[in-house]
Amino acid sequence: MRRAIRNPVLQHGLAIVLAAWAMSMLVRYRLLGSSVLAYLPWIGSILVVLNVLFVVNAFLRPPAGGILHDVVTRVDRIGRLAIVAFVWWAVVVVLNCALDPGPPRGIAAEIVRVGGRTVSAGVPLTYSWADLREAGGTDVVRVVLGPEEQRHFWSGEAIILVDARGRFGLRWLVRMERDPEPYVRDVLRLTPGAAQPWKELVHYMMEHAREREAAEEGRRYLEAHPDDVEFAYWAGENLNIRGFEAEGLPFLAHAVARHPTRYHSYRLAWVLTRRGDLADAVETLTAASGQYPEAWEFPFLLAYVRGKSGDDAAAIAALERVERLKRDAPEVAPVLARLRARAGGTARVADPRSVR
Amino acid sequence: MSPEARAFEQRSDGRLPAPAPMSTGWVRRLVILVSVVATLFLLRYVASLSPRLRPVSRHGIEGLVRYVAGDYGGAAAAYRADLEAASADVPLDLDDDELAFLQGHADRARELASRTLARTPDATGPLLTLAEIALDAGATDEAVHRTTQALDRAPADTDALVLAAVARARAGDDAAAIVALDRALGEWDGERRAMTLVHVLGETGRLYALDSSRRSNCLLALLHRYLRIHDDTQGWRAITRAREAIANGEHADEAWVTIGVVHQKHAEDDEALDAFQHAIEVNARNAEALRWASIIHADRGDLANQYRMARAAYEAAPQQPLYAVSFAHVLADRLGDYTTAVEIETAVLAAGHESATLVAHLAYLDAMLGRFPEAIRNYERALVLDPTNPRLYSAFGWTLCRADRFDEGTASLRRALAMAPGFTSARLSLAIAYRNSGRYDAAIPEFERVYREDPTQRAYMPDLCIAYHLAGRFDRARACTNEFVQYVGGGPQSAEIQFLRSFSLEDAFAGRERR
Repeated sequence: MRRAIRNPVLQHGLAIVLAAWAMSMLVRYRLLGSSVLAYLPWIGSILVVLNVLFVVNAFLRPPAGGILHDVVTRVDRIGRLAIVAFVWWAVVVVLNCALDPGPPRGIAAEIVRVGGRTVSAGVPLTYSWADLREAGGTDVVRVVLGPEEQRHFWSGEAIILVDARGRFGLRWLVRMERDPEPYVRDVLRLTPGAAQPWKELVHYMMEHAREREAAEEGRRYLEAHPDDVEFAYWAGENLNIRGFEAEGLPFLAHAVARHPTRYHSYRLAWVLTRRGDLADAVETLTAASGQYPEAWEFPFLLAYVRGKSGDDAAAIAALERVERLKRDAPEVAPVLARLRARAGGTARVADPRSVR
Repeated sequence: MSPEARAFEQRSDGRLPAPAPMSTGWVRRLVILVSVVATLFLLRYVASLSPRLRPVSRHGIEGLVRYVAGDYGGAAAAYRADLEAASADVPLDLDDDELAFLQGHADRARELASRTLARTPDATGPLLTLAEIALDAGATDEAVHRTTQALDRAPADTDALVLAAVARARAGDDAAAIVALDRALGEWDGERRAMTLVHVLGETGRLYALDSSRRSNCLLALLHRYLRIHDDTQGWRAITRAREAIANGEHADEAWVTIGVVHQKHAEDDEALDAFQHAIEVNARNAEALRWASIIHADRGDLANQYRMARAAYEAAPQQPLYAVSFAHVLADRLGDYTTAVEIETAVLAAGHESATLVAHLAYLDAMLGRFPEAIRNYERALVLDPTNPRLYSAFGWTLCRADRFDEGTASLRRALAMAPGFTSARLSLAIAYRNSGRYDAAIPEFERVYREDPTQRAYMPDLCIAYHLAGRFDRARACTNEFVQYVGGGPQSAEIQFLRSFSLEDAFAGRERR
């Protein structure tokens, strides 16, 4: 075991693994601040190459002695120290970023320049970077680009730079992505009828927690393209699921008014019910029940709404209809029995024909 | 004092000592190391080549060695001998003109090709066999004639375009050869004939054998661009020849396009865009340069410039389906301008360029415009042209569902899934179609399978939870919602999710009873 530890090939092999790991971490977790930091992966590459040469040297076992041997020995010692420092720095950076408690924030920025490229030397080697400038700022910071990012970014591109403070206060780059908004606005100026980029902008806003802006942009879109029922339904349902039902409801209502499908009608009635807008819910459910007389879900939800509004007679009529349409409908039998008991069998049940 | 001097002093006769054995061992190990590294690089290079360039046979290895050494004519002869040997065992009574030609039976191949043409005059394969026979016989006019006939029948056929380029180059019409090869590369659909690559290698060798003042560097650049598809290192030769062509003022715009395409293939988009812009400066109506510039802008997400360039390419060559269809795709898929896209694609179709892909896209556009009868008719036609494509069945099914023809739509979607059971987006469409038509119990297993097979779809799990609710399976709806909350990492939930988690009919009445 001790002999294995002293084996120079194993020692340098371990150094290669550590330097490569540290380098990959420094590309994955990029610190912002000084452009010098962008060169750390380069140092990692040098250390990897250096240790590969040491492995080759150990394999070749050239004649001992001489100036070359002394130089190699000294470079080896310095290299070992550098690897220790490099790996420690990578550990600090990983802990700073991986344990970051703060939420990331997006900042509008611009790519001033993209440099470097991938070369293939048996395996692809990346040395690509981007100079970034925050919108309205003058300072330029350089960051390394990962292999997948190289092709995405180009000089002059508007981007959103998402950063975080870091556990130890070392500000780091969570990710950067194209800011589609200026490009979409360009296209809309060029071809005002362009529907797709407009929808993509709404989608982008939705995905980036800008729901209110998405709703406003979506409203403008729907004014220009009122027949796009699928978009109306998609926007309404997404806003609703994300907790923006006040914004989402007009979209759902628009979709159902244009194309009242069974499912969409139910979803609209469901949201109205949940919000306590019982009168509109009853109206939607009654209309849908008329259009889809075989559907059990409309009288079922109608019974719920009637129950909420204290109209037991109408609730009983609705539940009786549910029983006819779906024998195994959950919770219906006990609730209906209790309602009937409460009515004492004397209360006049509403004419079932009035419940559609 | 150096070790050598010390050893010299220790010897009584004062002669230099013999070299230490360690020294020869060091050199030997160095040689071994260099050999191993070189072998690894060589193996990696050979593995990166198209299999057509590295057949495992005596002739194949000879062809590869000649090819790597730059002897393209010799490589072509060796690869051809390899093809002949490989096809020798196939019985002749198969009546296949291409096979007979590969086996070296030119007369038999000519007879079979003529017979097939008499039977099916629209066939392109026999015409190309006749063109290859003519090329072998040095009858270049005949070869040009046959490839022209083939292109009349199938204008975008890759083999026909490449062979037409070879025939025209052989006839000394470099300009026409450049146009044909440029189109072949632009509309690239892969070669189907084994001899196409061999002809290109042979023509490349023939051009290199000419005096440098008599050969077309632009054509050579395009031939190397073709070879790059089989061997990426050919890209650099293509660039070198293209730069020579530009320096000579020979088809400079086409040469710049070649440089741009090679850079684009190496993910060097800035250099590629520069090259395409040079091509456009030389010839503002070079549709290929404009199309490629549009592709780069598309990769960058610069939609306005993508649109400008695609439109300019279309306006430069409105009769060419490649540019018309590319522009229609930008209009439809990126801008959502379905009406203009329909106009363009309808014109392409009317010009006789029918294909399943084009008709299916037209059907999609009709559906997006809400013109369901036209969409359905076009999908039916596309399915006649390509009856084994599950994507077509899926798109057709979804369109039928959008037209509220759920039974036929779900049947078509199920057919797509029978052809390709792992086709997740078709399964999701089927689940949504079942749900939208009120068949909640049928929708549930499809949703469940989608989320199982493609975990990224779990972000849309509320669809399944709502389907459980609508099927009257409230317990499953609650469990599903809880699973979704866990999936998104807990935290505060929207009122919608909370309502779905806690919904009970009893709640509507329970409050009042307590009061």
